Amino acid sequence: MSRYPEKNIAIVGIGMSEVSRGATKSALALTIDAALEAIADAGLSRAEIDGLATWPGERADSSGFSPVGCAALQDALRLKVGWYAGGAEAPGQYGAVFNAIGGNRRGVVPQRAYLPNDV
Amino acid sequence: MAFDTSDPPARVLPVINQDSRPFWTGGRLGQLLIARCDECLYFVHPPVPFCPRSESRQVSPVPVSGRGRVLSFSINHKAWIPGLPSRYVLALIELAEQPDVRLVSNIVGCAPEEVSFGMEVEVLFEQVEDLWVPLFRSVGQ
Repeated sequence: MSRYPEKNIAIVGIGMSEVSRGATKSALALTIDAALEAIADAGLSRAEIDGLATWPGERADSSGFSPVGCAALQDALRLKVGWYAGGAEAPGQYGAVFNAIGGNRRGVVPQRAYLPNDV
Repeated sequence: MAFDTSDPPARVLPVINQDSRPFWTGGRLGQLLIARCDECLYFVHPPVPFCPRSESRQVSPVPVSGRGRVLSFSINHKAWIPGLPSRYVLALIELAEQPDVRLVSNIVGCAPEEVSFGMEVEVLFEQVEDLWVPLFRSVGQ
């Protein structure tokens, strides 16, 4: 085992939601799509996920930039996480990745290329 | 279901989306709409098109009885913003249809001292702009 945490961690599954302007699905529904796809791609179940990291966390405004955070996703998927991080002060999206490395769990890191505007 | 006609407290309204619109507007017809899985009939709240029991992606808003009971509550004494009443009750209410469907709302229509743990309540709606906010009062009020 390397003494560098990032060398002991691997991305084992990837999921992506549809990407569109003015999607018919809510941001949380799209996040669920991507998370379930990633979990399945990794050959895991929701019950085996014990960590969750996202950036920049929930922004409860109507900008559409980041309306979904750890709490909403954890609750919707009924994840039993022992560790989670959704802080904004981090090197952008990589902040979630580095937090996940530090968390050293079997986890989900929701990222988004684009968010629709919620109506 | 009646409408609360006493002076309404100041309310900060949520930004709603396609998933939550039924919950926040069902009161227009006097209905408390809770998302329910089309497959296994498990109520999913907050509303989202994913059922954690059956993993179905099909949920639909269903009118519930509006009855529930107070799981926990606190009495707020400070008027944090202009228009907020000097004392109000914030309660966690468990709906009768399914114990893990819990709503956060106010108990209105009685003095805060009259609210008790396990108290049976029923929903009423207060229209604020384009939303109908679900509030609760003691049954038999």
